[in-house]
Amino acid sequence: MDFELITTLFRTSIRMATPILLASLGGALTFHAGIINVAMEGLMLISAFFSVVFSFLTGSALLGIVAGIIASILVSLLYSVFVSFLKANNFAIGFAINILVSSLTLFLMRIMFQGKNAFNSPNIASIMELKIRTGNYFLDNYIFNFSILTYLSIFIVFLLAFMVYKTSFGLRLRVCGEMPEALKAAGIKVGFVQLWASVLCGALCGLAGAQLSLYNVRMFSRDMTGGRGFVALAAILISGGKPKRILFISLLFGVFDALSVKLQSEKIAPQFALMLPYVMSVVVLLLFHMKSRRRLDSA
Amino acid sequence: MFSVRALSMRKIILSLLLVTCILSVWALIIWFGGESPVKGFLYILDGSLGNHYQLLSTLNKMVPLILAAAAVAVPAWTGMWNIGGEGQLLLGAFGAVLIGFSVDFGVGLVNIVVALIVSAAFGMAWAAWPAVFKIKLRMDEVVTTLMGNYIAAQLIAYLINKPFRDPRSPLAQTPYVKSSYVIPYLFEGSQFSATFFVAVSVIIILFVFRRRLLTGYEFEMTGSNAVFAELSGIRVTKMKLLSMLIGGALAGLAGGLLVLGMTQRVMQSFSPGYGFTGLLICLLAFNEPLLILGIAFLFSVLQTGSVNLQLFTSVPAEISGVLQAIMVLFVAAFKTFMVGRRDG
Repeated sequence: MDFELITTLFRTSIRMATPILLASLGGALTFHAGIINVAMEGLMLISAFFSVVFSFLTGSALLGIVAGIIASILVSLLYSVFVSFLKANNFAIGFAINILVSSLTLFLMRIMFQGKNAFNSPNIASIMELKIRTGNYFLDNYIFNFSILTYLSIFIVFLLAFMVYKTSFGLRLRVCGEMPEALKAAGIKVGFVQLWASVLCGALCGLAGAQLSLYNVRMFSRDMTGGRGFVALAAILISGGKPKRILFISLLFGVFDALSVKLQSEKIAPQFALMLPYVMSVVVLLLFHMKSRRRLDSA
Repeated sequence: MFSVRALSMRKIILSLLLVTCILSVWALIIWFGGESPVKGFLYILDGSLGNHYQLLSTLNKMVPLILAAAAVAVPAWTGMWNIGGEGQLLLGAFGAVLIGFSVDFGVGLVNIVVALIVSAAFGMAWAAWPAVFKIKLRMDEVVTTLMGNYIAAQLIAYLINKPFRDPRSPLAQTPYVKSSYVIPYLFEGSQFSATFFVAVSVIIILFVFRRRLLTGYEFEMTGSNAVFAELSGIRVTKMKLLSMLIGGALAGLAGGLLVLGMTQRVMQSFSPGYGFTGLLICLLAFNEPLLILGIAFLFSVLQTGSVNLQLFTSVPAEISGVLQAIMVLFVAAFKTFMVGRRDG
């Protein structure tokens, strides 16, 4: 394996890990608040769509990201209203929302751009990179020149680690998930804590969708999230919602995604390469469960 | 749900309100698509029920939807989530093709029955591993069944591209099944076939199973209170596994029926998301077999109708998915007001 290849793999891994990281950080918040969020897929997809639309219309990636975040927050609020206030089943509503977003984005794409399965245009502004050329190969390729959202996401990891475990909001969030009666007794409405968690989750999934459609590929295509919302869910389940662990697991999933991209150009049938991220998320989940089972047995 | 007691004034009013709400939002979306709502609804109804060909095609479209919904419903009775219907259906379809072009037992009916059993077995196998992981390791079956869809899609894409590709075809698709495997169309000019009656029989069997058989009762007990069920001597894990296997078999059967009754081969994008539409139907039907029939009919009307809508207006056919999902959300919201919240 030559050095250039490692560099490409590394850069692709980081690029692919960023949306998974952002989404799982968002989902971790609702996870702590007691909601297993299965709507992340839909949140990312709606953001990916509106990011592309607004980036195309305004020529500004920033406005695209903002539009994506707003769309994602709105859908997340819808999810939260159903789950936290109407007490509907979170899986049922989550999947209804995923399917709604999947067909809604296709429907809107048809109406607005006459595109059938994908929309791309050179006018879609891409998310900027942190462009720093130091001349040092390592710094240029391994530290700088990634999407600004990548740096933002790493910052958010530490921000959330602080927020969840060191602030009163974080305490309420965790109590809300672990012992909602205590929260009720303290006079704090469980629903509102979950609502706030959902707003933040919406924002983070919005960023994830924008990274996907404005940086990773710079187009919108039918169901382009391709199960990443559920890969993120797997990351949350494995990490127990701990932000720093999520960072590692997302990187791992990013590596599998990158290998999948890389392997497609090799001799192996591309279908097996495309299968890799999904197989590996099942395998990682499996290993995690086998390990935690052993721990239970020995205890 | 059908008892007289349930028909209180409040519930009637709420139901009417629900229908009004759904229809108005549907109207709004059709209007947004660029067509007057009344005309839009007429195009949908005309395209799906207008003459007997369209009615037959609507009924025919119900077949995979009914079975895909049942594939979600049966595991749901024991409290399991089977989101993998899409993958199980694809595997089932491939199973039917595999038998259909390679083996011949001489008698058409035997051929068809064997092919359908194989397709159900393939679907069952694809549901088995998430079920076992769930039971043995408490691995969340929502994630695994869903990942299974993507894995199955790639697996089938590989199989129809490389080892089982029809050498005479420029496209990635399997050869046709032998003619003795084809379930014949019953009417000239329509793809309607006996598959419809197979699907309806499955629903009737499931209805009887749930209401009249011991295992059906044990499924219910497992789903409503697993701890109590365990204490009453029901083998909960066995019930959960069994329900998941039945679910997988039903989804596989849907794939098999699609192959033998309609496409006669498996090609790229074989399923336009039957598994997920089935999930929505099951959610609306509250896992109740007979309601699945009704909702599947409604969804089928929406799907065939919206193709007609796209033909004559500027509204794209994808509208059917939006209309369906919105219906699920409204029904979920109204269910809270009908039944009351789960906690205070």
